[in-house]
Amino acid sequence: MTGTPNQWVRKFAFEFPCEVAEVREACRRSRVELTAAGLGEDEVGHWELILAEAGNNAVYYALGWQKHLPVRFEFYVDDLAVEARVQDHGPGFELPDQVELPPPDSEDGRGLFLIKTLSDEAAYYRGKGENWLVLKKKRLAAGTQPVIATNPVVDNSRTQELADSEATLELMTEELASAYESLSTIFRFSAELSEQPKPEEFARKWLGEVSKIAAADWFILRLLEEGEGLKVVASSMDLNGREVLSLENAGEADVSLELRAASFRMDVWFDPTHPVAAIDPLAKVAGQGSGFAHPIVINDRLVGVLSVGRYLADAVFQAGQVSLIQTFADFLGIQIRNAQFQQQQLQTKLTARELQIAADIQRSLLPKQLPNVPGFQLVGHYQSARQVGGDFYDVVQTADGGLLLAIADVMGKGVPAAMFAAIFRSQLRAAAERATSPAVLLTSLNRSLFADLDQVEMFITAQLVYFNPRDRAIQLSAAGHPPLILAGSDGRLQAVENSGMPLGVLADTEYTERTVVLPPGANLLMFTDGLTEARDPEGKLLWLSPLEKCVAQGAKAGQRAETTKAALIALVEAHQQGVPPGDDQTFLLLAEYRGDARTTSRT
Amino acid sequence: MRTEKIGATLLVTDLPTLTSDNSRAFKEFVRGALEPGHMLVEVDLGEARSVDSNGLGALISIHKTLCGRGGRVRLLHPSPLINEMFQLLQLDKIFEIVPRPS
Repeated sequence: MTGTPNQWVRKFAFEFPCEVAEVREACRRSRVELTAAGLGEDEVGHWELILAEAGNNAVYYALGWQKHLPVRFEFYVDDLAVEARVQDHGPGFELPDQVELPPPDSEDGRGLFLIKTLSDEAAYYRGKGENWLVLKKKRLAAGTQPVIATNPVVDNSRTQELADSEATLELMTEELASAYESLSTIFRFSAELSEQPKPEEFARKWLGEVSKIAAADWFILRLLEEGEGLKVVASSMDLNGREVLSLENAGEADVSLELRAASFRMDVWFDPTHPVAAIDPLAKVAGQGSGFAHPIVINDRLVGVLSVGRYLADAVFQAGQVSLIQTFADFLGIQIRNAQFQQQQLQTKLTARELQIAADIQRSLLPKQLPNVPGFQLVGHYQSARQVGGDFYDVVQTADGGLLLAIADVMGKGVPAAMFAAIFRSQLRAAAERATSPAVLLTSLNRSLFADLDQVEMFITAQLVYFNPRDRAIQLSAAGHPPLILAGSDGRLQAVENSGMPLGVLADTEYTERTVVLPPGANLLMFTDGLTEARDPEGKLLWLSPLEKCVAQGAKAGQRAETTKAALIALVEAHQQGVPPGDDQTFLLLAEYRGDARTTSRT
Repeated sequence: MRTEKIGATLLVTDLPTLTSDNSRAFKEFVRGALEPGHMLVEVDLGEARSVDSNGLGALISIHKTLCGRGGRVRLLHPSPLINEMFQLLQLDKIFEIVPRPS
């Protein structure tokens, strides 16, 4: 503090609570100790006044949690001088070289003047969490006063030097050891972090080490879980089932120290004079001891709250220990945030991968080539939504030369929906060749798929059309699916509806079918509800009628199926105005095309 | 802490200390005992072992109250050490100090 230590023949130190009333008692004790050290009455009187002023300042300027830390007096006395050190935990101040006297009628401002005037040397050292006022004053009638009869001075100066050096070294070693312990703990845990331990396990180990270094008897770490509250993730004792503290309930902050620390984002202290409320969840642990709750805030975001304490009321934490706990808690907070961020990134990657798999399955379900039907054109369209759904379409040639047109929409998104679409398609393909009745096929598909769909509470809407070009008739059966759109070359629309329950809802549903003869120049559109439910930027749905108009126009103009398909896609896109589709958009268009027939006949 | 009223004088005695822990109480005690006719407050420091800057602040506060009514404060019999402090802080200019009888 003040250079090479003197040959102190008496050292003593004590602490007292940071309260005005305690300063007097501390001064009285100093008087007793200094008298015992051999100081005369006058010099003891001077020191008592100096210490009263220094003690008052230490108490008056401490703020908030700083008031929970004790003030420390240390004395080093030899036969030439006395050095007193006063440790405070306030914000500190600049000690001016010269202190002026205030005007005579001023009621304050004389403390520093007395300290500076009555001592020979005064220096103030500001540190992190603690400050030291170091005061030196020569002894009156130096060397003439007996030091203390009960503590004879060993008149061997070399031995004294050695003892003092040893004491200094001991102090330095203690400080260094503490710093080394802290640093080595940080390094060791940083190394462990590279092995990506679970945040909870890491926190428990980390805080266990910190508790040892800071001599804490217990700790509880709560982390903020979005939408839930502060949850215990690590503690020095078994706290299974301990309730979650909700930040939503502001009233609870009145009774919970941890919530108060989280809400106000400041350390909240407790000790027997400021005890934890009996209904505070911390009460059982904190008891009559002392400690504090420290909010862990990283980048202005609350990560959690660390509470630490000691069972003994008078064993309050030292400033260095408080700083250590706060620093380590914040470091832990950074690690936890990083771990959470990595977890989120991993989850995003997994989701992206899952979507990719679903999209791959989806693509594999769509027929690469649609069969040629003399006099007709067949086109399909599939536009996946951002989250892949379970739409698909298929066309299967039946044994009797007909075609089975299928379109389906599996409820749900992602891999599960794509998987069910695949199962549905494979079962459909297996049975389709021999089936000429869509209703029988749907009834059979529902029976075989019901158990699996029911188990995962999913369902499928589907529409099957059997078409035989020879007789121009279609048989239609549907399971909870939108109607199909049918228009002839005269532009007239026919509403063709036939719908039973979606697949997977009732085990023994019997599906029905209806037969419709295709009008000349027929255009037939099978689609999923992703089309009718396409939304514009204001959320308005497209609905059925624009689709009907588009199909009717195509039929009337005798357009190629590809042209009508392009018109349908353009219609939906124009409606959406850039809004990404919320659901898969799928359709299958069968269009009678006279142009091709003529071409075919010529060749 | 005790007060005695002798005509226009309010005498305050029984002060073992006048420091940060009791200076506010002292100030309020004396103000509470002051009557309109009191023009002199005598504070007996004969038993006071210590006085600190907060105690001085309280004395100065009472001094200002008395000045407001044309009165004054007289300090009786401070110890040599306390007397030395008054001189060091030049407070002997605003208080009348009656030395301790030798």
